Amino acid sequence: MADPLIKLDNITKVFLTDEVETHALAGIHLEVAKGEYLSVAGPSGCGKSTLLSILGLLDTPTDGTYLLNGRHVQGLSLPERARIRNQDIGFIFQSFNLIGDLTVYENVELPLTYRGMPAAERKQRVTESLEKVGMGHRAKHLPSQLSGGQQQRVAVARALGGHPAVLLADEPTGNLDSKNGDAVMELLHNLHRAGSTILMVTHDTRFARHADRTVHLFDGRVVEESENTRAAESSA
Amino acid sequence: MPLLDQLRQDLRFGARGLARQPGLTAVIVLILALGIGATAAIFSVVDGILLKPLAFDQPGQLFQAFEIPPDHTQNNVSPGVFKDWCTQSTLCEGFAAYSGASMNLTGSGEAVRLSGLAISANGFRLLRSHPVLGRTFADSEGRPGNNRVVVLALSLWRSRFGGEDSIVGRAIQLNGEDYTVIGVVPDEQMPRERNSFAVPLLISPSLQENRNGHWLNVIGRLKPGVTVEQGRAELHAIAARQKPLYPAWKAHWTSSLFPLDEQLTREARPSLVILVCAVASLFAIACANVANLLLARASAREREMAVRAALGASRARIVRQLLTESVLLAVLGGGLGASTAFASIGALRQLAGAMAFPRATDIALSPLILGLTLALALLTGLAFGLAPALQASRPELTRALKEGGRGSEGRGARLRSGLIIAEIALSLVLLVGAGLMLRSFRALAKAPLGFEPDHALTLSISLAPARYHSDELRRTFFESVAERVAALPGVQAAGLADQAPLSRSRSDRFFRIPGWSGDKEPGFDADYNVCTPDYFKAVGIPLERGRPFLPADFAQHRSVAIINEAMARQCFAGENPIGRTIFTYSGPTFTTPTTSWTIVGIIGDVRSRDLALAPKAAVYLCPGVETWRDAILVVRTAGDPQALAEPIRQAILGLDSNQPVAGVRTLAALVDRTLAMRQMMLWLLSFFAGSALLLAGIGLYGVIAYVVSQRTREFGIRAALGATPENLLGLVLRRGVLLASLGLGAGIGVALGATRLMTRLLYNVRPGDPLTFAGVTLLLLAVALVASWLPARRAAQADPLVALRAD
Repeated sequence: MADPLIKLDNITKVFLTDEVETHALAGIHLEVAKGEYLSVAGPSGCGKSTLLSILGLLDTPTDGTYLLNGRHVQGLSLPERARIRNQDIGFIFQSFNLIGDLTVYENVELPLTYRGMPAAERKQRVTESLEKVGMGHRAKHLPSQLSGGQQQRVAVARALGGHPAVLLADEPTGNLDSKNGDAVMELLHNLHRAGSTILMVTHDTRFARHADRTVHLFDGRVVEESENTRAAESSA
Repeated sequence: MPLLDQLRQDLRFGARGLARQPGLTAVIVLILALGIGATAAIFSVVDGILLKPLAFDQPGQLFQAFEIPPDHTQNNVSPGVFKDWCTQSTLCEGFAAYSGASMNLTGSGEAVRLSGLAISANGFRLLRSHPVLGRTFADSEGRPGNNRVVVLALSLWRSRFGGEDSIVGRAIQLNGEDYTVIGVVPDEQMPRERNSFAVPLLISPSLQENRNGHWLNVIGRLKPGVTVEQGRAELHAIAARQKPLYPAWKAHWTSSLFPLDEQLTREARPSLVILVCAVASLFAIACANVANLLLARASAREREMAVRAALGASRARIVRQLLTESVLLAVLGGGLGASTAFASIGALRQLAGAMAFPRATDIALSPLILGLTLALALLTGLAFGLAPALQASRPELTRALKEGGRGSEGRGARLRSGLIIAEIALSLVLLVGAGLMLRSFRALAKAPLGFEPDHALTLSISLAPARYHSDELRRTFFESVAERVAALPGVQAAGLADQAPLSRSRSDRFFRIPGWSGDKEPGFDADYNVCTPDYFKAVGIPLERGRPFLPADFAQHRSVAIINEAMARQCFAGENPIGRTIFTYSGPTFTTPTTSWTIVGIIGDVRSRDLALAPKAAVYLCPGVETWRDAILVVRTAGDPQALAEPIRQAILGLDSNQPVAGVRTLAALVDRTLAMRQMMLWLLSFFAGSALLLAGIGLYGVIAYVVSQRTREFGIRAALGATPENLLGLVLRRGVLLASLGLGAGIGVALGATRLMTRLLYNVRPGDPLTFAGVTLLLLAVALVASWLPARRAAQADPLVALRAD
């Protein structure tokens, strides 16, 4: 493998609650190549979300090293981490996390405004992203006027707008019915085929198999890695 | 469950709910107490001064009448015009004239000077005063020979004569002459406030033709059914008939009348109107704040209400529960507010007295005001408890239970924003008012007085005509007083005059100035004062040109005068007034310009009437031809002037043991008294404005803090998407500044109109003073920034991990 986009080395995360130590992650080693579609699967409480929060620079590891694009990122300041989240990482959340007071357009535009991007460029990026997910016609709507599947499409568009190095998806189908869930998985698949690096956390092995490779977590450890064939089948 | 049990349970739950949030409860109760307490107290003042009817029967028929000179001011009335009204009016039941008549009470304990008045014999009957003892004047007692009778005010009767019924028929000594007490009337039924006695007014037949000297206060009563306008028109008509008869004096004058109650409160009314507006604004701000806090509290409890509803509580039950809590808060706030008002009413009465407000003694926290206060408190609780209660009683159950009331800002966001905008707008109005008063006060305090108020004492000496019946006796006495006092250790100068600066009693008269461009009848109207050679030194008035009065002027009765610079400018522009002659009018009707005075010096201008009034032209006469019966002794001292008060009093008593000394005040105190009304207004407005600023700050903080708490998740999402702490800080600050800016914009608009009410109270500051507006706007913006910055810091620390937490 060439230099991986993401490289985790012996990552641990310990939570202290009332003098009780909880080892959420224990010695995680993980590499994600550029353009790879990786899923992280496991039962509830196995550490999937903790791993995603560390990968997304939403949280810091207790120990270990994290290289993103070859750069150590585990000890960065808050503003620096915010900048990397904004420029290099695109998030897709289980609960969509669209801001209710902003229109679809404004929601997609939001991360770009934090970058200080000129308005014209923002407009082009937002339009492009919304078209990519098939939501261009809903730009002026408020999130509350959309179905769950549509809201998740908008969330994907928001993640894509910044042309991130990696898309981190946290149970992206968790709040959707099966039909909409399938549609979102198809959308991610298409994005992957178009070259996006995707790391998806899911407890549903059916959706996990949409990725090239699945890492199985249990009690904060990687217990298994498997190659999937769905992508190959689809692309064939 | 029986209703009573339910109510008891509601109360118990309500009290427990309030105790669970002691900080919020305390803030709401204190805000209500401040708003209600201040409102009740100030409305008590207004009720006592403006709203309570006068203590006379049919007070609506009473009026005060004036002669109106060309400058449209209200002038006292000349005896001739008073006689014309009495004889020609058909619409008025009658007129009565009075003038101040302070006298020395001797022969019953220590000699004391009393403020009293001389009033037409029909005066008490016209007013319909009801004596508590004896009677008031009979018509016959208004004639010479029968007039040695006196009516006492109740307070004097009690304090000086022990409230004994036997006072009626007894003789007391006033100014060394026996007066028989014929009755006692309540203080509030005296024709004028703060007067201890009344004697009949005598106007000699020759004086009754005087239409030039205006010294009478005239009151009257309209006949039943006659309106003020009709009475006024009649006086206009009488004045019109006088014009051709007395062209020299009345060509440009007219007459008018005004309801007595309005007239008594004329000076105080603008201040009271401003205070009422200020306290109403404060109350509105307090209510808006409480409403905001209750709305926020209700939104935060949406989940709790949803749980109650899910457990089967009816909407009515939920509303009642929340209303119980609101009313409980209102009762606590109202009770504390009423107690505060009750405790402060004594201080306000004193304050109103110090501000020279009329009817200050009538100020009391009446049962009506108390009832209104409590009703206000309950209304506040119901009004601001109802909306949140209704809002909280219809939660969207599924959403509320699932999301815990999480939204972007929760419901009622617009209402909360609207309330805070209104709060800021009203705060700006109050702050601008206080700012204008402050600038005005500072300008006034810096206004050049024209004299040195420090280290100077003033004392009032009034000689009894019976004992000092000739000019020579009076001159000798006063000369001896000046000499004795000047010889006391620590005294630098002692001078006598008609009036001291700012002593509230001023005299003016007409002077004929040959050659003056306005040389026509009646001549030039100027302030005048009769004073001894050392008066200028004692008061600290600098001599600008010429010479001062000399002891020889006083001793040899020389008719010499000193004028001030204002008069020199107005009457002798470009000429040297020194050596010029001016004339005063004399004779019984003051129409013959006979006495001539030679100007020997020019002194600096003195603010003698009011600090806010530019010095008027003034003439100081040496007591050659004219001397005083009442005089003010001004003593300049090396050290503390008050320390010399007793030695000076003893020196005067050493000359005449029956001679009381009254009105012992420092010159500095006279200056302070002039500033007192504005100072009190400044304090009260500053208190209201400061409270408003604090409440607006708390209100804005509360709204922004609530918004931040409601948007915690949103901020976390934004942080997850790459917003830096500065981005989030800016987002919240912008919200605070936006609300503040909208409030400031509205407030500036309102203040530009509202501050016009203050025009009469301002000095050297315009109501729309841009500096004050700019300063207040910046201050409020700064407060808004601080109030927003505190919760904004919490927003800046938003945890992006919330984005990963599933709903």
